[in-house]
Amino acid sequence: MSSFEMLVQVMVSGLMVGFIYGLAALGFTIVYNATQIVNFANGEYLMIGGMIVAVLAQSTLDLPIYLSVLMAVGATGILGYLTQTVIIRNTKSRDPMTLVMLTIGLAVAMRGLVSFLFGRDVKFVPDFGVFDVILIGNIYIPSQAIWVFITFIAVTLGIWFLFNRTLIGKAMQAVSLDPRAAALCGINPGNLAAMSFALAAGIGALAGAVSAPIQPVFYENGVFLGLKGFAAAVAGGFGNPAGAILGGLIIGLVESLAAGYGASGYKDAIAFVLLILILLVRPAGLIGKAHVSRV
Amino acid sequence: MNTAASLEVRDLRVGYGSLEVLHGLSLNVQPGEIVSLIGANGAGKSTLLNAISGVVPVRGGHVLLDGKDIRALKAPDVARAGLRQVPEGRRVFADLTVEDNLLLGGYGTTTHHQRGERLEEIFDLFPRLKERRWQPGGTLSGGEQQMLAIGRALVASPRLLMLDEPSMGLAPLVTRDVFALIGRLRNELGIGILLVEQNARAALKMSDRTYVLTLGEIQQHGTSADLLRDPKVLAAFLGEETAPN
Ligand SMILES: Nc1ncnc2c1ncn2[C@@H]1O[C@H](COP(=O)(O)OP(=O)(O)OP(=O)(O)O)[C@@H](O)[C@H]1O
Ligand SMILES: [Mg+2]
Repeated sequence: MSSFEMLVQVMVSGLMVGFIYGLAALGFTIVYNATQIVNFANGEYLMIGGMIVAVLAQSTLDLPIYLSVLMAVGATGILGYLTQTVIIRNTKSRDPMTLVMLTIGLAVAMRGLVSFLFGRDVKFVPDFGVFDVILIGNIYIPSQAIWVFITFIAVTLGIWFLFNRTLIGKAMQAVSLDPRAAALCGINPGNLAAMSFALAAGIGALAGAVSAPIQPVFYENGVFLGLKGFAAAVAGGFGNPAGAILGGLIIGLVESLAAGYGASGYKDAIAFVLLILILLVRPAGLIGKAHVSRV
Repeated sequence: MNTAASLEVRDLRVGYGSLEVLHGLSLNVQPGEIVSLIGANGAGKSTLLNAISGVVPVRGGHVLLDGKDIRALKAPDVARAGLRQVPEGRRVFADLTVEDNLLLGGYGTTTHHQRGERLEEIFDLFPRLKERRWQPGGTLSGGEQQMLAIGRALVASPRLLMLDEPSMGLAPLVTRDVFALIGRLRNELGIGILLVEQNARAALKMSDRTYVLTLGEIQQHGTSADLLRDPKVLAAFLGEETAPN
């Protein structure tokens, strides 16, 4: 293997991880924009998505994989919806800081519940199949990477469409820009908040499900997925969907380069050092939220 | 849904924490009527509109839209019932385009098709907004933002409109345009308009009736023509010592 092929190979795995981080970061962004809450339970949605697919794969149900993924996304989406409607909405405090603490508690509770229901063992999920492994020279692209890529592209386009081409997406932006003016337009912030949680959870579950064959499922995976997603969202400019995706890709790439060139023990640390460097140079993130308001 | 509605407020009490701002306030607005509400800074004018709109909770009394009590409704539901407020300071969505700002006015109450039609009507009314259709709302001038805020409220075909200091921060010429527009809206739509104003003279001149709010209570009420000749009003709001003949 030439050193160039080695570099490309490392980048391929970095991108694959980056796609997942980007999707995790998107969840943080969507919820934050609609509610001003940093939802630290977001990583758990990825873990739960993967867990549901793993449990179904190990069961005797013998479901086709697309059905398992659909069930994972649906169930986790409902869980996200309930996070908002049952817990956040009924919390007396409206202070975002208190609600952020609440989401940390929720994350712990979700991990506990999952380990209680499905065990603390590492679970393996077979590749989704359909595609063949791609081999270009010595560069190896696993078939599951293609699924991850397709998912990433589909979600990115879907989110772009939602925010730029639908009234609901614009209403979500309106609520984050000025909740009172939005309410005076007939927009119910509570409904949109619940929808944003459901959407973030569904996207998280999808990311967790497609990455399950690559990253074996474990009830504590949500911790690092949440941190990486959060870091990616911050790096990109919190609240900016394109930034979240870019941040995810960069962190994935840097981690993979670190691991590929002998610093695998430090890859997590390197990702966070990178985050700090980005914030030093660009405090508002790579794509700081544009403010064109005129006062 | 599109028919003009009357608004009646009875014995309304509103406050923040231990502070009561409105102490049992009553007023009404009939379809086709422009009613102005004038009063000093801090008198409670915005508080009244926000209480009617469901933004600030009501402590006592009633808010009737066409006889139906809407006091318990939350802000989005009041808006959907057809009672629209153009808030103080305009509050356009700064990062969204002019077109998106307008379309959001019809959120939840109009079909895609209706919004398209309404948008064209509003662009006929405000050609300036059409030129700036793809610009972020925050980049418009103050007068244009006021037009946008009014247009946003009109997209849903309101049954009654409340405007909170539409002339705030605008040059006299622009203020004149805004007031002309308000008169036109009443004539063309036949809806009632509740107009909160600092610019008392302009408000008195263009409205049918006027309420004077002082420290959370209606101190005076009458036809605007009468109040324009009232020495007390002249002294308090129009900076004149005596009534002209
Ligand atoms: N959110 C709030 N919390 C606490 N007090 C408030 C709040 N909003 C208004 N007030 C108080 O209520 C009183 C009435 O305020 P309001 O904004 O209704 O006055 P206004 O008549 O609209 O004044 P202006 O002409 O300056 O707009 C003021 O004393 C104000 O300080
Ligand atoms: Mg005011």
